[in-house]
Amino acid sequence: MDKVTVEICCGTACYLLGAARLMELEANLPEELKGKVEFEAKACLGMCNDDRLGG
Amino acid sequence: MAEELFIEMECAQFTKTGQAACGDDVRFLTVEKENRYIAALSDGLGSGVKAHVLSNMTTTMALRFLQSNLPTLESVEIIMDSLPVCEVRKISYATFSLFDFALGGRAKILEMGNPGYIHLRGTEEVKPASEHKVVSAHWPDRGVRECEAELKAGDRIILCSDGVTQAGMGERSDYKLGWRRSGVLKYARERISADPEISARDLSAAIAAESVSITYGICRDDVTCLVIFLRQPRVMRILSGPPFRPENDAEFARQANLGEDHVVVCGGTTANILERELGVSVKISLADMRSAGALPPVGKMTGVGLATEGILTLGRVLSALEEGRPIDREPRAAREILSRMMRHDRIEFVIGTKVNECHQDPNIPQDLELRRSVVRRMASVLEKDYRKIVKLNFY
Ligand code: FES
Repeated sequence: MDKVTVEICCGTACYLLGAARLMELEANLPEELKGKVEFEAKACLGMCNDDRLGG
Repeated sequence: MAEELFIEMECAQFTKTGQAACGDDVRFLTVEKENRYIAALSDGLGSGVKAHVLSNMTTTMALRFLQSNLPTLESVEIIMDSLPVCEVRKISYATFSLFDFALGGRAKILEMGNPGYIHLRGTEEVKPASEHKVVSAHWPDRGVRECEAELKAGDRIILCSDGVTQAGMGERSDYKLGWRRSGVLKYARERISADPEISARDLSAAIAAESVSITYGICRDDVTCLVIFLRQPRVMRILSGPPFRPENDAEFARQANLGEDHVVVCGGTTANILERELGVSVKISLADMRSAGALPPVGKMTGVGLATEGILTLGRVLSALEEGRPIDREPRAAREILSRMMRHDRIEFVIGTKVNECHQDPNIPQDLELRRSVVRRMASVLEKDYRKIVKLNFY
């Protein structure tokens, strides 16, 4: 199975709303997912400014 | 040429081991409208709090007198007359070295009791253009050496307290008379030939550290080294915030072309504008993400420079500057920006003024200040306390 890439936003809004905690995900992956997920840090993904996503 | 020159004045200091206060004091003053740069170093008699008070009084008075162009003799008399006299030794005061330079003229250097200044052009020592002694009738045995120095771009002046030149004295057989002025001179030359562009900040730190290492890390006296370096200004640029009008994005982005080490891009939206306009991309490595500390991680913008988060990082940098917190203990992003600021002389802010609406979201658990006001405060503290030239450009 292909690896799944998870992008974590490091922008201001996401960071303050908890993205900082998401960084710990990698270390706490359940056994069965290890090796199947990849993490990538990203600058603001633009979602915080998107009204459709609840702004 | 006068306009292109930057006068970097920096000092490094160690307090005598075991003392709560440093008995040496250094003060700087820039008189902008006269293009004039003044520095004062004073070593209070003895060490600890009393010496601290003496040296502080001395530098404070000296700066004021120099700035108001009071004649040397008069200034020195007022300083010596007003300092308390030591009961045992019947001598008052603190020794001092003063430096006064207006662009385009000669530098004036006044010394009483301190090791003689060192003037280097590259690695060559330059002798004073003129030199004489000023002696006050009140204090016949305390002469002041008054020198004039011809300064050119690339020159350095080094001033030290005797804690530097006497390092090792009476303690190491290979330093019977201490490190001495000649030892400082030799060491400074070595450093300069190894790194001809070494900043005043790095050179003063190296000299002070070297002197302390002679005494195996224990300071027998307060150690102070002040270096003045005349050089072409080193410019860095900080880009942050989307421009108020999107049609200015392209021009805004072009300001990032200054070489990688000199540009910091603060803010995700800003980074996105640059990616779009310049076709570059941000890379945040996972390792950086883990070692970021209390701020979002830093990224590398290929071909442009450092990329960080925006307002939180800038706010952190501002508070570190205002409180004078040590740089090496700051989270990575703030540390990277601060150390770049210290390495450069002229700091240009390129600031977009559009308000980021999502920062006004009531769900965000922290008040986010407006970028513009953070940057304004940063500019004023950098000019006032760090003697930087600051330029603000709003888009
Ligand atoms: S800060 Fe994460 S999407 Fe904008």
